[in-house]
Amino acid sequence: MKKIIVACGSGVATSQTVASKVNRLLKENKVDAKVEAVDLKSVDRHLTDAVAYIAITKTNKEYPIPVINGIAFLTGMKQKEELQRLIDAVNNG
Amino acid sequence: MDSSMIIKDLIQLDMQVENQNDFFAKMSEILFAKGFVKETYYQALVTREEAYPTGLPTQPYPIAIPHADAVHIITPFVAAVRLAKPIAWCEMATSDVWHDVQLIFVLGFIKGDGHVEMLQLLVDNLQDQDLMDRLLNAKTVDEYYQEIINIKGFD
Repeated sequence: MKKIIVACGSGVATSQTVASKVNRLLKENKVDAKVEAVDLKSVDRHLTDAVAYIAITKTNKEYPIPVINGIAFLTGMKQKEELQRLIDAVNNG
Repeated sequence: MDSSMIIKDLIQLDMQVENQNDFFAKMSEILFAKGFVKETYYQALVTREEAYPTGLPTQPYPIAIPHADAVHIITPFVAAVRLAKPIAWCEMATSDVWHDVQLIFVLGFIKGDGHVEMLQLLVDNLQDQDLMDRLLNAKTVDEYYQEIINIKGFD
């Protein structure tokens, strides 16, 4: 199973909410991947084995894996597009 | 899901604030006086909002879900606030996209208290135009509280 990471500032509200929502969507779409909510400080460590990074904080640097807009999963706006980008990242990762 | 985290006693209707900082100061004072947060809460809330803004560009109206780290919370809560007039609020994951926000849900979460479902339920339903209009038009705290706990998904 492939790993996707999501991180927010406190790790107690938005990141876990996004993780649970995206996990549900992946399951519905029969995608073999799991989203893990991680501490913002440990993102770099997870980049080696994750296939995508769902960001819900401002990203100022380049990442070696696709960065997905996590706000889309909270608000529902552009959710379809971001989910497709995520599925593509899983399939290509 | 259990709606007991929506604290009726914390609902603020037509709260008068000048700006976001004024809102944080007044709200922290209320939360502290009622024993929901520690003394460190105000500074934690301000610092966190600066680093990680909490405005959400939901349709039809943007909302804000400010929160501080769990260590500053004593008793978990959701404080629902309607401002007398909207204030500028920065969108999550940006530093330069601003929205005029009138409805705010201050989240006081502690790890493992079911907040994930709570936040999801709120965010999903706050995109319902009818509900948002009822919240904007509610005349009393009772009415406002009822509208929220009547959201489908709450017990």
